[in-house]
Amino acid sequence: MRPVRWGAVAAALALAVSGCAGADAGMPACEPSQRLGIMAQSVPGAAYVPCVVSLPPGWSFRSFEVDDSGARFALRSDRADRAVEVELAARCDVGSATPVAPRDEGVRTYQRAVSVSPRYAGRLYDVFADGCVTYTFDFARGPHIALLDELQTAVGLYPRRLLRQQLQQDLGITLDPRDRPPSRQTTIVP
Amino acid sequence: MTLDRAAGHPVPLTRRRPSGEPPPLPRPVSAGTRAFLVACALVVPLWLALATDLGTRAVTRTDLAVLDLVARLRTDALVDAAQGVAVLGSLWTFRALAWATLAVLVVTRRFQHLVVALGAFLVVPLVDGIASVWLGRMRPADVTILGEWSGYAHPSRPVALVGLGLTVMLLTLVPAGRWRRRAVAAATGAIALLVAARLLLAVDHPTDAAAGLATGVALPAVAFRLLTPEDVFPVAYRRGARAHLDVGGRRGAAIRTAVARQAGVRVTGVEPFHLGTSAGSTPLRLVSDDGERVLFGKLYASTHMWSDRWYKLARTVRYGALEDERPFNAVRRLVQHEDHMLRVMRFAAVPTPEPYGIVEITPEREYLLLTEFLGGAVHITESEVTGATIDDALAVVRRMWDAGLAHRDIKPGNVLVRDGRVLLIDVAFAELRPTPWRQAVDLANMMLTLALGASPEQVYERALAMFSPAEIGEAFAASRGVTIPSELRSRLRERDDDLIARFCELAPPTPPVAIQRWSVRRVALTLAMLAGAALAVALVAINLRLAGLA
Repeated sequence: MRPVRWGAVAAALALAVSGCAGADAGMPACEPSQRLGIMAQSVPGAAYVPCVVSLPPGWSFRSFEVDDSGARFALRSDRADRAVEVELAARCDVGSATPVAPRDEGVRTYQRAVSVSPRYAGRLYDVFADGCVTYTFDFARGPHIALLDELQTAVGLYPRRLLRQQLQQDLGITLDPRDRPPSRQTTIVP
Repeated sequence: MTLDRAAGHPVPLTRRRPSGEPPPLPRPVSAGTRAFLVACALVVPLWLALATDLGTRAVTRTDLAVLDLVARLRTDALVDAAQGVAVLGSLWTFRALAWATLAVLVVTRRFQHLVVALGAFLVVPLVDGIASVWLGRMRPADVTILGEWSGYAHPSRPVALVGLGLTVMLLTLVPAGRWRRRAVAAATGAIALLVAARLLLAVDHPTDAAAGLATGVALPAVAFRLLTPEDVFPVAYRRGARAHLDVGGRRGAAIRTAVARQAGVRVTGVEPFHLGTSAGSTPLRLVSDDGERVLFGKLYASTHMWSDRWYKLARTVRYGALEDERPFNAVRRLVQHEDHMLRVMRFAAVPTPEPYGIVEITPEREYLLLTEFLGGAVHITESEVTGATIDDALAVVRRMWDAGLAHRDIKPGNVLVRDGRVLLIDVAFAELRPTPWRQAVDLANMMLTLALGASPEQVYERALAMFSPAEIGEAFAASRGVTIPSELRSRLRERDDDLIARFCELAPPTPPVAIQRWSVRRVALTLAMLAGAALAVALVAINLRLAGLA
């Protein structure tokens, strides 16, 4: 009798420690969901919300935070010693970043390298109406090019318009309040 | 068996409790506890509903209808006030409440409350955290949010944490009665204000706040009611009453009823007796209604059984298999053992109180051991220790040796003297067929106890009449720290001389008996405890962060 009880306690503790909700629990996948909805709420009016299309082999989801100033999540590859942080905010300072090929319609993409050697570190910016996504990376040289490619494949941008329609259709939720002030047109701080 | 039948007096038969009748001190789940349990249980279907599209649609529609009505009450002044009140939901409020509560519980050494409080502080945020990530609920949509927010909406973390902090503080720090009622009213008001403010600001759905209340208030309330019931673990700031049960009120009445029905004696007086000498039970003096008979009772509860279990586990890990350290798995077994040992001791002519059997107060929870009251007896340290006293006390040990018994707790508090004769009390730890080592320790402890009132030389000389020098040498070779009861140890420390060293000089030189015993069980238990401690530390560290306490 006693060993069974102790076994149950140990199993419960192990579950609690290991995180019984699963390794990818809380990951903002690119599908209409309240998880993307709350990210959209964190930056009212942002035309896009960053999301995970699919995790490339060796990549894992690390953390997710959201509040009334924006949303952040982190991904990490087993070939990288530091996680990549993805942040959605209302504004971002692209500074002297270099424009690169846009990742989506209505999006301006910039890249800024902070360091090239011995580590390849820097930021990517996706700037769009009423919002901006910043990707902060810091890779060891070697696999850095592949890792940056995989990152851009892994993280996509989900259109707010589509999310609004689908949340309304699936859950009866109206994403943006009726009395919300009209959205501003630009958020770039050059 | 009833007292009077045992004494040979014709008395009215005791009344057998028929099947279905509640015990003298029933432990029903109170209406309040049931209400809290229902509140906790209702969260499950709510979460299951929110995990489906259909359920989310229905719950959200209702929530938004309520929020829409609340939003119509918004005025600038009300919104300003609500934003002020919402600050109450800050993580710092919870941290202040939680750390203050834990600090007071440590200072007042209320460890049962401390363990449950710590558990609540860790489990509630963990449950809420898992639920919130699983459900990933949005903040209220279609209504303008006017307050600050962080994280998923469901369950409402600020409501749960403030509710948790206040509930634990009330149930562990505020004594039951008038003060707690006032504190509950104040806390209810504060939580209600916080919920109202958050709804007005539209940072929570009504069901978010409800789930926060269920996990933050109802869950810890149920835990405290079940694990530290008020009548067993009262919140009190009197010193010296911590280890003992309150024998007034319902329990006092239940004891009187149970003793009358099961032992056939009507008692009117039930009072604590020499609480300071017993940590493992609540000793009582019971006086019959005609005032002619006085009984001694030891009240045992499940808390005492758990103390016994922890004590034995700690001993096994620290010293190994000194002797049988198997714990009792039920209070009934514990009290039955003591009753049995009293009878065995008396059969072996060891002078102990006459046992009158056990009385069931609450099945599997509380039992009373009844014995004769040793009127006129005093502790040996309060009596003159004459040569006859020494002989009598050592003869008691000799008889135990010959009968294959060990008392295992010989100390001044358990050796009484009445009319010049020595009596042994508190045989709860006594053992049949103990190890020779244990019997040797009994002898050493008895000689040390006697030497508190007589010279060690006198005690040694008289001991030689009943024990060989080699046996006495073995006794002191086996005697050290752990083998000496703490009461005796502290009395030895108070003296200027070293009694143990003196006895060792008197007795023939004997190599010390090793008390560390290694076994597979000890190693396994030690590893299990270390693993458990590491797991607990890891859990605490993870959860302190999750709970916002660090």
